[in-house]
Amino acid sequence: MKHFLRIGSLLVLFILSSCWDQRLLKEHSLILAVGYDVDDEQMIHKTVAFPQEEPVDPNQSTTDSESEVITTTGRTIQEADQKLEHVLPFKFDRSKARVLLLGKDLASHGIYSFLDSLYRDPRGPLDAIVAVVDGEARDALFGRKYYSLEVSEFYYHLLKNTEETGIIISEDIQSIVPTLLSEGEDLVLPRIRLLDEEKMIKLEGIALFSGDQMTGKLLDREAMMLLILMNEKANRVELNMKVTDDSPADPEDYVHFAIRVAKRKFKILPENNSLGVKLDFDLRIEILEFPADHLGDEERVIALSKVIEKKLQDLAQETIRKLQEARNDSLGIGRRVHAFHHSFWDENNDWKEEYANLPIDTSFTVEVVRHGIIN
Amino acid sequence: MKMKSKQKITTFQLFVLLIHAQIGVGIITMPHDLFMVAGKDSWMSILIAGFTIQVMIFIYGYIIRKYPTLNLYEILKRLFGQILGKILIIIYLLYGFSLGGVFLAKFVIILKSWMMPMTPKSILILMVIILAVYAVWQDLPMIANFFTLGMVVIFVYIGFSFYAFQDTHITNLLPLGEKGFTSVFLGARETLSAYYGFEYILLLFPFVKADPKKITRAAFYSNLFVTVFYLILTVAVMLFFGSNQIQLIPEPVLYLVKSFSFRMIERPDLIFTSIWIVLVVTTLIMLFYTLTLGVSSLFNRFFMKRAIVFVAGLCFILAMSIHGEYQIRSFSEYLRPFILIFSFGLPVFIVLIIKVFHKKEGTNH
Repeated sequence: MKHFLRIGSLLVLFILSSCWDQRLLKEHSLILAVGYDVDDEQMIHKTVAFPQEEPVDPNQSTTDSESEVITTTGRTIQEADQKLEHVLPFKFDRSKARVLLLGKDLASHGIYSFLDSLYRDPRGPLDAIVAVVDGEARDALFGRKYYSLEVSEFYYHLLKNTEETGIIISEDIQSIVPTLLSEGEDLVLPRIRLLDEEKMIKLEGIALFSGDQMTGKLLDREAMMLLILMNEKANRVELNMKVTDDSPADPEDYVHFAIRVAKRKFKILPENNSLGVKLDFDLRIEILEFPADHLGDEERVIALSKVIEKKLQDLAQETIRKLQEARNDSLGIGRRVHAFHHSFWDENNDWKEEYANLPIDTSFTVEVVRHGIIN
Repeated sequence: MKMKSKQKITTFQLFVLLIHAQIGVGIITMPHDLFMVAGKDSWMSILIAGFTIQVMIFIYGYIIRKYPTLNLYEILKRLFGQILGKILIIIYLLYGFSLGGVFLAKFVIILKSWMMPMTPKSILILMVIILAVYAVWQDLPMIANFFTLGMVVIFVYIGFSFYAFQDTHITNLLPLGEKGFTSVFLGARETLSAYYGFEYILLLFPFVKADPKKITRAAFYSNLFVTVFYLILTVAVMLFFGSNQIQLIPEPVLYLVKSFSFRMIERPDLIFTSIWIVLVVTTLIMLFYTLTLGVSSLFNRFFMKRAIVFVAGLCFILAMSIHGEYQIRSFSEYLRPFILIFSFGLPVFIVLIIKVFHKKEGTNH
C-alpha cells in the first residue's frame, strides 16, 4: 500500500506540471485597443494597437509610450484576426484589450454580429470599454494627439473620466449585451469625434441605438439630460443654463449647477387604449456658478429654481423627442411594460412603433440645497 | 456485514456530506438549463423541486426509523431476498456508473472550453479520479472533514452572486408565470438532476452517531441549504444577464464571474473554475463512496479499497467513451427518468412493502 501511494503521488506530480495549456507572455504581443470598421463592400477593417516593445533608455525618466497600429481586412472579425498572423512576427493576444472602438458605418450597420467572437472566446476581453467613433475607428487609433499616453490608455481614461464627471455612461463589452439583446431596452454608447484641423479627439455626447443599429445621436447637454432621465449617475451631472430672457446674454444671465441628489418616480399609466409614461424628478442641486449672486434671499432662490425647473423640462422634452425619433428606448420603458402591462405588450407586437408615439411626460422639482461658500 | 465503529460521523458531518453530494458539476450549467425550460419563473421551479425533496426526505425518515442499522443496499437484500435484491443493486449500480461517466465527461467539456483546451481528456479525468479514490481510501469522518473545509468554496459562490446583484433590474424576473405553470413543473423536473445526491442519506445513515429523528433533520437542513443556494445563484444569473443573453450562455455562472473585473485579479473566472473543481471532486467522492458500498454489498464483503479501484476504472472508461456536448446531452436525457425511479419511486415502494408486509428489522423474510 505504501508503495502504491508513493507511486501514485509521483504520478500526480507529473500531472500537475500541466504543460499543454501554457501561454508564455514572451511569445505574445498584447493588443490593447481594437477598432472595427466596415467598408462599402462589407469588408471588415480591423485596426489594432499594441505597445511598441523597445528597450527603454534607463537614463530617460519619462518613457514616451508609443503604440504600433496595424489594420487588416476580412469578411468576419476572426478572418481579419487571422490575417494579423500573416503580418506580425509573434502571436497576438487580445484578451487584455481595454478599448473597443466602432466606426460609424459599422454601428449603423448593426454591431452584434461583429461582437460574437469576443463573447465566444473564454479569454475574450469582456471588460474593454466600447465607444462609437464619428468617422472611422482606424483614424481614431492612428496619428492623433494622445498626451503621451498609450492610445488604449488615452481612450480608457477619457471615457472613464467623463463617466465620473457625469457626462456620459461608459459601457463595457459585457454590459452592453443584455441591453443589446433585450426587446424592451436599447443601448446608448459614448460617441467620439475626430477634430481634423487640430488632430484632436473629442468626446461628443452619446450615440443612440435601436436594436443593434445606431440610429441617432445626442449632443452634450442632451446626453447629460439622458443620464438624469435614466437616473443613472444622475448625481454627478453638472448643467449650465441661461436663466434670463436677456439678449445679448452675458455671463450674469447663466447659472451653473450640480445635481447632488436625484430621485425618479417612474409611472406607466393606462391611457385610453394606450399607455402613458410619467416621469417625476426630485432634484437637489448645488449652485456652482451664478455671477448675478445674492442667493441669501430665499425668495430669489425659489424663483431661480422655478426657472431651472422650466429649463430642465424643455431640455427633457427635447431629449425624449430625439430618443423617440431614433426609436431608442434607453429608459427601459419596454422592459417595464413587458413586466407590468403584459397584455398590452402581447397585443402590440411592434413595440418600437408604439414607443415612438408614446406620450412621455416629465416634471421636475428642484430645490437648491447649497450654493458654495458665498451667497 | 458490520460497519467499523470508527467510521461513525456526527449529524453536522452528514449535513456537510449531503450538501457536497448535491452540489457538483450541475451548478455551473443549471441556471441556463432551467431557464430554457421554465423561463423567468425558474426560481419557482427551484422552490418546487426543493419542497418535493423535503417531502421525500420525510418518507426516507420512515425507512430510517424502521431499519436504523441497515443501508439501502442491505434493506433491498432484506426485503427482496438475496437474488432479487442483488439484481436491484446491480441496476442501481449501473445507473450510478453511468451518472459518474456523464458527470466526468461534462466536467471535462466545461474545463476544456474554459480553462485547458489543449490538455488531453484522460489527464483531466485522472486528475480528479485519483483525488477521489484517495479520499475514499480514507474513512468517512476524514472525508467529512475535507468537505467541511470545502464549504468555503460554496460561500465564495454566494459572495459572487451577491456581488452580481448590484447592477441588475428586478423587471428581468417579471411578469410572473409568463410561460405557464406546466413549464414551471417541467423546470422543477429539470432541476432534480442538480439536486441528485440527497438520496445518499439512505446509504449513509447507518454511519451516523445519532437517532433517526436527528438524521432526518440534518438531511432536511442540507436540502434547505442547497435550495437556498441554488435560488440565490439562479436569481443572480437571471437578473444579471436578462432573458435573451442567458439563452446563449450554457455556463452562465462562469460567464458571470468572467464579466467581473477587479483591480487585482485579471480573470476571476479562472480562480472560480479552479475552486469549482473542489465541488466536482467532493461530488465524485460521494458518488464513488456509495458505489463502492454497493459493490461491497453485492459480494457481502466490506472491501472498500479494492472495490473503489474497480469503480473508478469503470467510470473512467465510461467517461472516455462519451464524446462531445451533444452526446452528453442525449445520454443525460436517457438517465433523467431513472432519477425519478431511484430517488422517488424506489423509496416509496420500500415504504409500501414495509407497510403491507409489516417487515421489521431482525425478522427474516
